Amino acid sequence: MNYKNLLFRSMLLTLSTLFLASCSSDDEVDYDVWTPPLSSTQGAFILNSGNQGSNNASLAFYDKETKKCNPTVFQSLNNGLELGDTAQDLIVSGDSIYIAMYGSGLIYVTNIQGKLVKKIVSERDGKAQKPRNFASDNKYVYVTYFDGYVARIERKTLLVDATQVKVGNNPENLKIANNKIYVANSGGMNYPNYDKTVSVIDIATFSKVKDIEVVLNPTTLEIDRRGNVYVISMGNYGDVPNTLQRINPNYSVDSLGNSTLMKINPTGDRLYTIYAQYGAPTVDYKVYHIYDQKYVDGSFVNSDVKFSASPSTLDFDPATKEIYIGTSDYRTNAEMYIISTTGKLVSHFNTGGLNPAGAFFIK
Amino acid sequence: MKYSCFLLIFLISQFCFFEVDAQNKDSIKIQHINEVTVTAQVLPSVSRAASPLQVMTFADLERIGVQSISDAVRRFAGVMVKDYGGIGGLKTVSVRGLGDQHTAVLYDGIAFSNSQSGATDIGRFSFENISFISLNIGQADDIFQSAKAFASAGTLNIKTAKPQFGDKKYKGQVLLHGGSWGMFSPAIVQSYKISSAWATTFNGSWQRADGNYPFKFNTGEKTERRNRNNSDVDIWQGELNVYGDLKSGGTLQLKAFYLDSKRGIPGAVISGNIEANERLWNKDFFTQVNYEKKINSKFSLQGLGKYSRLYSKYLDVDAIYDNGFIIDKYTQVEYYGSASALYQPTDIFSVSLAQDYAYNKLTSNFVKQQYPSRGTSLTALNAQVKTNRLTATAGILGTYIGENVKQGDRPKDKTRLSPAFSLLYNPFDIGLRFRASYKDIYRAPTFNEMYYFRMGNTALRPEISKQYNIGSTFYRSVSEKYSLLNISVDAYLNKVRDKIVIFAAAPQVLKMTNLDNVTIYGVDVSTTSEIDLSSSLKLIAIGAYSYQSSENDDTKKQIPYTPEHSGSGSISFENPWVNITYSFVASGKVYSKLDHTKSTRIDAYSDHSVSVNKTFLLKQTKLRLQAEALNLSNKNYEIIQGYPMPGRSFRILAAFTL
Repeated sequence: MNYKNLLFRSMLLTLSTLFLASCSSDDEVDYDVWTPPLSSTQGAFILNSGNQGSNNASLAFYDKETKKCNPTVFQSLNNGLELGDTAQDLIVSGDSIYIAMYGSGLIYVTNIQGKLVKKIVSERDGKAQKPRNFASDNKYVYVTYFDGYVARIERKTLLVDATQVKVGNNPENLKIANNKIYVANSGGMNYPNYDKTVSVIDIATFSKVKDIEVVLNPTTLEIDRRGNVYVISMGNYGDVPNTLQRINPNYSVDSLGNSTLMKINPTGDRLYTIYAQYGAPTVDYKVYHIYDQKYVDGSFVNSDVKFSASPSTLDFDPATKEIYIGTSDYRTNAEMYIISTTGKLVSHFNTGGLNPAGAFFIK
Repeated sequence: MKYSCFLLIFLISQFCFFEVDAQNKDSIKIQHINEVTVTAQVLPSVSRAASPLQVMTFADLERIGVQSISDAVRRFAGVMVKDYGGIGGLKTVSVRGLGDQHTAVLYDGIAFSNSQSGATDIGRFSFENISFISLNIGQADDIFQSAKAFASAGTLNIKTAKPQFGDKKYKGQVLLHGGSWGMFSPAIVQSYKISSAWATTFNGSWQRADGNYPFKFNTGEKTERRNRNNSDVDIWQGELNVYGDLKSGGTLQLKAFYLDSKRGIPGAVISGNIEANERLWNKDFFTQVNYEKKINSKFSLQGLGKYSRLYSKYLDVDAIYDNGFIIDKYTQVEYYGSASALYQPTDIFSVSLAQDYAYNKLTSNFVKQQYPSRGTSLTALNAQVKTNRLTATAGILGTYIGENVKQGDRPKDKTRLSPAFSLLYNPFDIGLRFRASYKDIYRAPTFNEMYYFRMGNTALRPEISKQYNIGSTFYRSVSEKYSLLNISVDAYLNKVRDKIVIFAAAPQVLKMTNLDNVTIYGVDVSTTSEIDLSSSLKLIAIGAYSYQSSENDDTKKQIPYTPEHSGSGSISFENPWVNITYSFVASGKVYSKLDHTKSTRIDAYSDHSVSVNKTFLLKQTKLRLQAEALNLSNKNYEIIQGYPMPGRSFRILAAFTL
């Protein structure tokens, strides 16, 4: 009896079987090559921020007719160029789309479909500044740079003005009201010494005129038609929770309770808020009536709707008034949920990327 | 997939030289011993191990042309070295898909501590004085070790070479390494025989490199050639060992080690205009003592002690910080002691008891630091029956971890009992053995995971792993020409629960959580063949192949950074003129995230190298010249997404032995 022979034959057999078994099925999700839809209003651009320090931000398009979201918009239209590191914000300005690439230190300007027209880099002391958020008026697109400045880009020429306005530390959102630009200074990179001001810039002179004190770590702003500025401060993730305040046109500040995300609805009469504080047992979906100045009863998301991860973005479809809520766990491709005006779940889709920054509709 | 074909063909081809010889089944005609630097250490026997064991001796490393520990370890079956590229890039070892914090790295029997991140960066140690490196998966067969040696799912053992003087009183070596992208590294090894009982070895090295290797980048309009930047390293390392052989008084080894490194952190490759500005300094010091005494023929004692202080400083220059930069400083201190006893009442039965205690603390320059500390008590009781036919080992490890903080939430203390069993069976005396083993072990949450600003979670539980392994080894001299054939094949199943991952718990809030459960099964094959073509011509072939299926229990998809197929191989031709070795490492595709898409896919790669060496005997000295051409295909493949590896590069080494 030759054990060695038997052993080697069986080993060869095992190895060959393994080789055959290696022809396993591929479970990779394939996205079709993306072609722009006939009309941009057929859907919304979804901006996926990706992970900080990685190159995995992406621009996606959700098609309302096919109910599919394709995250390869930017690569498909730009010869495979990856969007880059941490896409923070997107603004539609006329026929152009501006995308703030915070981690990559640049702003992409594309046509209304996503094809690159210009790359805008602003340098200070020889280093590229890192853009956060946008606001725009007829003449300019304004941007916050995280090193503490507000800059403006002339829409006709796509050139950044040499003059920048110094604001507080780590400015995030900026919004235009009362011929002024309000800027939320978070100070987020200087924990535990967060900033707690909202700067006010006069548009005509493009200079700072005031700093308003709010709760620590303000990041998000919304403006209503009466010139009130709503501010969400994230607090210190400890004893100071996510807080909502209102800055009145006379610069006085009122506290409106707790909130983490907010958006004003298309008709402009209600402020929708989501309070998703870490450690809280539930997430609250509350609607604040702007003119009556109080919270309207009831949650705008029905209790039977379950999200797969924490809500992280809140937007409205201006055409259908439906609510788009993006969720994020920072490690898997995000799910975005569409909620009807009566709080029911209409549908949901996968954004194809991590950490959505929002759903952006072309009006 | 074509790489897995290549690997399998390579392994199968080793059998081409095989001649079935019925008459050899009873006796081994040629006892084959590798030509190694003769050391006092006994090499562990891979074929007689009840749990998978792989060994690379220094001679193997010299022959293949390996010049770093990470390059050696990546050739073992079942191992994934997570490599961030370049000489200074972070390199950690994950065994069988468990994760790099499940691997303990022992240096001369004592574990490197890293309570902060939990995984040892094997990238920065130079290894001029290594005797062998071994990887043990599961329980070790040597039951006379510290309790810590039984406290991890996998153990990487690095053993230094004890000097053999012959009739001299002094041995020395001067080494000069040089290579692409500005790599230059001089090193010395000096050994002195102080007396008949005492000897000392000092080895020191300096390594510098620019690391600005080119790689290809798609800008959309074209594929551009860019260079990695901020990739430089400047590393000083010194180690002093004192050996005492007190005859009946026991043996003693004292070690002092210091490393001072300065590195740039190049970061991932990203589209855009941001330059990498992060820098990292490390100052590591440790001293350890190892004392062993045989009391009588039945009873031996061992004592270990260690003090280590690891200091790291991180700098990022960026205008987004109030001062224009941020500096993080961390100091980890560990005090460690171990006592173990081995009792062998009969030839075939032995029992051991080991008790370890480690005290770890972490301080930083952070304003709201918690000053965490941890006391870990490990007690290991092992019993072993060893006959010609059978080696059966059973062990139990008792863990008690006491956590403490000066500020903030104090995590709960953790206790656990972890059993392990292994069995080796030698039924036929033909060099064929069968083995089976089971190990239940954990890895405690690290200080980073529990305390890192905002992300830390003091409620974390340990990750628990259960490993099952069955396999066989075959080891014998096949014929006069085919002087050695060594094959191990193992099939395994690992179940890990409570894997700690980072996820967004709320907007702007990332938290460490016990979230994932993973099931991993696979097969590891490793082979070695030695063929004597003549008295002066020899072929040595080594191969390793792994098949692994690591699935997240919820998504049922392959977890990140675990290739289905991977392997390595090398063929060396030793001859009187110039020794030459061809070697390769290959891996199938992996995904960087739980979602599998084109953008998360990291393509399969293979890395081929050729090394040549020749030793010249000059009057009183020996000169060894060695040269390598690495990554012959010049592809900037990635192991970690966004971190391309260097393309084709060269290395030379001149070693003078006095």
